[in-house]
Order: sequence, then C-alpha cells, then structure tokens
Amino acid sequence: MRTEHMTVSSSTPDRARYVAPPKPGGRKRPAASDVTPTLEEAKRRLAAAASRPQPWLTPEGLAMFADAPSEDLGPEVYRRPDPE
Amino acid sequence: MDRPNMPTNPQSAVHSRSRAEAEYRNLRGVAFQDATAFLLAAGVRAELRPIDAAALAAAELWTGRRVGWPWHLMIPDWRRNYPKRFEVAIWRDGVLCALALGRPARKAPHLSLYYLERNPDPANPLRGQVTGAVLATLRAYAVVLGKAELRLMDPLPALIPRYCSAAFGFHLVTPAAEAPYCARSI
Repeated sequence: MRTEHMTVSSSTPDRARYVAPPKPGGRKRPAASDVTPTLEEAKRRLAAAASRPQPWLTPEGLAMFADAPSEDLGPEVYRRPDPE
Repeated sequence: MDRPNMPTNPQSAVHSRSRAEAEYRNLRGVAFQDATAFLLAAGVRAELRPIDAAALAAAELWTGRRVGWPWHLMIPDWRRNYPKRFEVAIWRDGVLCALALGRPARKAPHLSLYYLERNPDPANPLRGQVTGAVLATLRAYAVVLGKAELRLMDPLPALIPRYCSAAFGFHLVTPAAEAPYCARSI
C-alpha cells in the first residue's frame, strides 16, 4: 500500500516551488537597500545626501595621500568571488 | 502528467540577470555623475567610467605594479556573479589613473571596496588623489543603494593610519580569522 509521503520525491517540482509560510506578526517591509532603486529615486537620494560632508574631498583629505608610495587596497593575490 | 509550471526557466534566469546588469549599470552611471561633480568642486578633474575594454587594455600596459591582479579575468568573474558590484575606471586626459572593484553586502547596510590599484606611473596625473576620487565614487554609489557604511577591505598596513586619521574618519576592524577592514558610516 502506498502512503501519501511515499509519492513525493525530492525531484518533484512541487517541492522546488515550496514557499515558507509567513512569519508570525505578518510580512515585513523590505529595507530600502534591499530594493533596486529607480533612477529617479537614486537621484533623489543623492540630492538629499549632497550636504553631508565628504572628508576625502576637503583640502586636508586630498593632501592625505599626496606622498603615499601606493594607494592600492586589497589582498596580495586575487581571490575569485563566491557566487551571489 | 504534464506540469504547466516547471521550477526554473534558464532563459528567464538569463533575462533577469541581464536586466539586473542593465539596471545597476545605469545606477552606477548616476553615481559617477554625482561623484564627478563633487570631485570637480574639490578641484579634482577626473573622468569616471565603467571598467571597459579600453580600461583593461590600458591596465595591461602598467609597469612596476605592486600587485599582479589579473583585471582581465577579474572583471568577467565579477560581472558574472555580482550585477550590483561597484566598479570604476578613473581616467584623466586619456590616461587610466586607477581601477577599483567592490560590492554591496546582500543584507547588511554596507558597501565594501575590495580592490583598488593606482596606475604606478610617477606621471599619473591623479597620483595622490586616486583614493579621494574612489571614495567619492564609492560613497555616491552607497547613497544610491541606500547603504549607510563604507568598508575598505584588506587595506595596506602602511595606509591604515591615513584612512583612520581624523581627516578621513575610518576605524579599523580586525575580525578573528578574517581580513581586517576600515569602516566608516556615511
């Protein structure tokens, strides 16, 4: 006799489409940084941030690396990234 | 029995990836425009572009490099894996001055810079100003993505005091068994 759980294999497409039930307390709104912004939203964000200081673009900041023998950053050897 | 909805359509995945690639290329373009204006206002004339074939060809001609990073292999790797990546080639008067590569965290609120290489030629017209130019661009892209923190991964030990100076405002983080990084909120 076949039972219900025996008829479901791991390769069944229904399993692949499984979606977890919502967490208690309802659906959470995604953070702003999780959503791809539109170009208009990107420009709005930049306009809003325009007044925030950029210390690397002050005369003092720009002089910080004037005599640096190197401005490189990163590991000695290239490391291939993991897939996202 | 036929099932009308198969789980994954490879063509759909390719389409989704190419659409994400185009969307984030445009967003990087907006960040480039903003950073270019900030740099100009600070007296730094620089052209910010994607790392294209011309940039890769110019980097191949660099001599006296401190590192041997294979940019011609890195860019395809990162394009394949990270549509949201940060990438910039900094030019001035037809001279490639620097290349930089990074990526945003998937969930955490930071954008990390992983690779920055300055054209080692002493005649580099942006020598000494490459860091400022890259940070201005990185910061603009972080703002576009809604990220709140910049991270400079695996910094050269000799440069850490400069990043962590009062002028720059980064602080050093040394996680156990991982590369150190300098972080700053924006």
